[in-house]
Amino acid sequence: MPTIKLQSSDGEIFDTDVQIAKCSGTIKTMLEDLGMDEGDDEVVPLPNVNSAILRKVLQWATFHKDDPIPVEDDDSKEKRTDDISSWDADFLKVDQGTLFELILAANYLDIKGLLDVTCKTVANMIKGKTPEEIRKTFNIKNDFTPAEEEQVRKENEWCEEK
Amino acid sequence: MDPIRRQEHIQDMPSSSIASKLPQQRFEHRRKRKLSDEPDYSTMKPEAKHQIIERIGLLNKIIEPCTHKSYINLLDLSDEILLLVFKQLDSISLIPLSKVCIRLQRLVADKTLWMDADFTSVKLLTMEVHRCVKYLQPGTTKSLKLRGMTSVYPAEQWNVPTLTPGILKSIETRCCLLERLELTEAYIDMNDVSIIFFPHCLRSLAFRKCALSVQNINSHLIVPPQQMRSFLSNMYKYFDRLEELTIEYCAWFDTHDFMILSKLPNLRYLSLKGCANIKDSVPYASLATRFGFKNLEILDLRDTPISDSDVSCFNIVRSLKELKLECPDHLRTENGLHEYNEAERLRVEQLHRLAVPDLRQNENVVNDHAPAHQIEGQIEAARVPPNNPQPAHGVFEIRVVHGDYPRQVQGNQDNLIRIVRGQAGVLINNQRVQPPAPVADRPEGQGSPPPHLEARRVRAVSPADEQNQQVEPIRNDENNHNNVDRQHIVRIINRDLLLQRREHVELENPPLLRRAGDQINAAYQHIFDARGNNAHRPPVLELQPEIAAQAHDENGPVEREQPFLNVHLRFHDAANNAPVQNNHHDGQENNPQPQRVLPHVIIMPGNFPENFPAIANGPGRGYQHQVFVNLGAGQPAPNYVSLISDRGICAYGISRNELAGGFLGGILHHNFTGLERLSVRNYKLVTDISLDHLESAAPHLKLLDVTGTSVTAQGVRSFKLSRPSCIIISDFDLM
Repeated sequence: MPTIKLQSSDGEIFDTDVQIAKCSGTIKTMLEDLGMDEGDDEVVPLPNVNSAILRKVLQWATFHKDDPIPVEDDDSKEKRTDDISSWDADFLKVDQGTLFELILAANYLDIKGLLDVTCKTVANMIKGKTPEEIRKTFNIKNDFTPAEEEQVRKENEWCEEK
Repeated sequence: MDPIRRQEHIQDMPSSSIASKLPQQRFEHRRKRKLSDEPDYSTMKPEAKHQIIERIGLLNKIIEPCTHKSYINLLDLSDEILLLVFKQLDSISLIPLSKVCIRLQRLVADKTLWMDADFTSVKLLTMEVHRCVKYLQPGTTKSLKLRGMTSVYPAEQWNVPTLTPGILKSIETRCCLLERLELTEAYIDMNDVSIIFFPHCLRSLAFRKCALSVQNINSHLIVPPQQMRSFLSNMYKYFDRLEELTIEYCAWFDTHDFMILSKLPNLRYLSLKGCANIKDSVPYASLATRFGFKNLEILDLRDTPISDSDVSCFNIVRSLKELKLECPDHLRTENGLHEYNEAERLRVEQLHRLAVPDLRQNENVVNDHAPAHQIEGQIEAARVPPNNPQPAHGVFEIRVVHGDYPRQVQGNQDNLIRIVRGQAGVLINNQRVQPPAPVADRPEGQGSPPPHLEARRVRAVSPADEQNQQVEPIRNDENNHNNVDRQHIVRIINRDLLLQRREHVELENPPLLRRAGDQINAAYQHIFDARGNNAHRPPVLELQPEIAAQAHDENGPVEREQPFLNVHLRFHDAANNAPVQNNHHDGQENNPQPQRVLPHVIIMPGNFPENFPAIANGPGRGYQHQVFVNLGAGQPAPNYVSLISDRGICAYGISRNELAGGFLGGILHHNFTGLERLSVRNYKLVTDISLDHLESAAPHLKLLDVTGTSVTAQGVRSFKLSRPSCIIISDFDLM
């Protein structure tokens, strides 16, 4: 099986199946555009992904390498965030920072499936929370002025009651 | 996002590289730590958490523990990434998000998040809907979904409308590009809102499980008479862009609404799934489909108690490509069918009882014109004082359609006999020694002056005109066995009226009718209240005045050849001022086994004050209602429910066999149905005959779903053989 070498930002080199690496739209395009063939010992640098995250990403890609390519249909798409597979859910039981880095990596590497599932996980963390709970969850500072906040509270009483 | 930007994001996180150098830890160790440290785990939705916990032991592929620890914050992510996350949220969750901090507030206002506004995750009060609508970004929202409170409200608290004119106005101004509006479980006050208040630019409109208020027909000072109409009325004048209309599980949709919908010029998709009231829609649907629905392609009538005749109406919609039919759950079993039939029977009988007081009041009219000697005996008959307070809509018009009208009845443009009562007023107790037990709030006052009752009109048409009469396209012919279900058309058009009238009705209404003058009552009593099993004897409408009133022998046999000689009801032209006579007939006293027959009754609001100035000046101004009574050959102890059978399916297109029958010439244009997808599910009366028919009559058919029907494996196989291009779904696919 042909492999490709991926180099993380901190210099670690991952010897990866080409097929797995091609989960990433970025790498796929790179390989196709640059005509990198198997057997080349060239290393693909991924300066935006550190080794820990890249390891996770490759782990995800390995598991999902046989997934069918998701069909793009924007029309009938419903916003569902409860359709995360159990493997993914387990996979994403990581701390917030890692989760965000995974989002960034998935975005950079253009891995749609991973981006989707990570975004949904974050969305689930937001869903059903009051503004104050969201601030607490994500350690966000309230930077509204008191007057603004009063206005916000007035407008939004029913949301916080829920 | 370009790669450079991405790089910046990563480099914004100095902590990540440090974190990655943390020493590797053992799996077990890490799990313990994670449970205590990780905030997202504890804050996940309960279902998700449950799922996770459930699956921990089942992992067939061990996930390598992540030793990486990162400290970047949500706000460290770029706007683009955050928007990707927020796009996963429904509109309800965005609202609290906008209250978190200034940056998020700005982000949430991003137009891309509000293209498809979906608020259906929460049941909304009026005020909440109002606030939600304020979040819609001007000019961006294409689709808006709202959910109301009807599923949680007890009936008596249904006073929180989901939509008000103000909300609709602000939706219209904010969302000038709105194409799709979906209301679920919404409650709409018909007194404030009608369909024409909705944004006219809509291409798709959906009502699901929505409820409408009762029209407040008593407060005629507040509600102008113009609003006394269907919620959908005049829809076609404004919604010329509407392509998809979904009215699902809405009890307020009634058959007359077919007329309105048929005029929508661009309607392509129509779903009436689960609308229980579209039963017996032939009178309207036949007309609507003949002259309207020019662009209708997809029709969904699943989960409705429709019959063959209703379905057949749509076979002349040339543009129809897809038809979906499915037997409602509760009608699939013998027991359920029986229960429903019984419920329908009760409903019809209740309707009859409701109709009776008005008819009895009509007897005043009769008395005014009746010969003195007939009345004399009745003078002491108890006259129940006016039933106060009467609803303001107390003027009723009774139309008898579908009768065999003699020449004597003045010809007119409609095939109707109208009996108009001018004033809500007196109930006549017919020859009862004791008046009927008065309703509790009704004062007893025997000597009270009879109310002023002025108008009685009898109009009918010659049989020739009857051809044009479309209100009730049912013929009196004998060979009606094919149209059995059409015989039972009973519709309550305005059930609010019935609800309001219910309290005024004496359920113990005496069926004792002896006076010659109360023919209407007698007929009604006979038709409506009689119960029995003389199945073969239809009720008869006799309109020839020269035939003397004769006692009707209930037990006598009736020849099929002259079913109209059983005289129960006579109508005279009011213009001749002829006295109206009738057999007295006592359904319950004289005959232990009277027949039960079902006339066609339609009660609907009507407005015709210009024809009846006296009424126009009367207390019931503008609130006349019409009672349509079909006194045609009745159907004995009828089936109130008839399910779709082969007859309904075979109405679509003409098969090879029928063509071979001869009349090839005139029907060449309408040989085949254009149906491409047909779904007929769970109708036990659909058999191989339908398959055989469709095989040749539906040449364009690509998908046929006959799951749950009585087709046989053999039939499916032969259909497959002759129509290899058509996918057929049946119970036999799995075998």
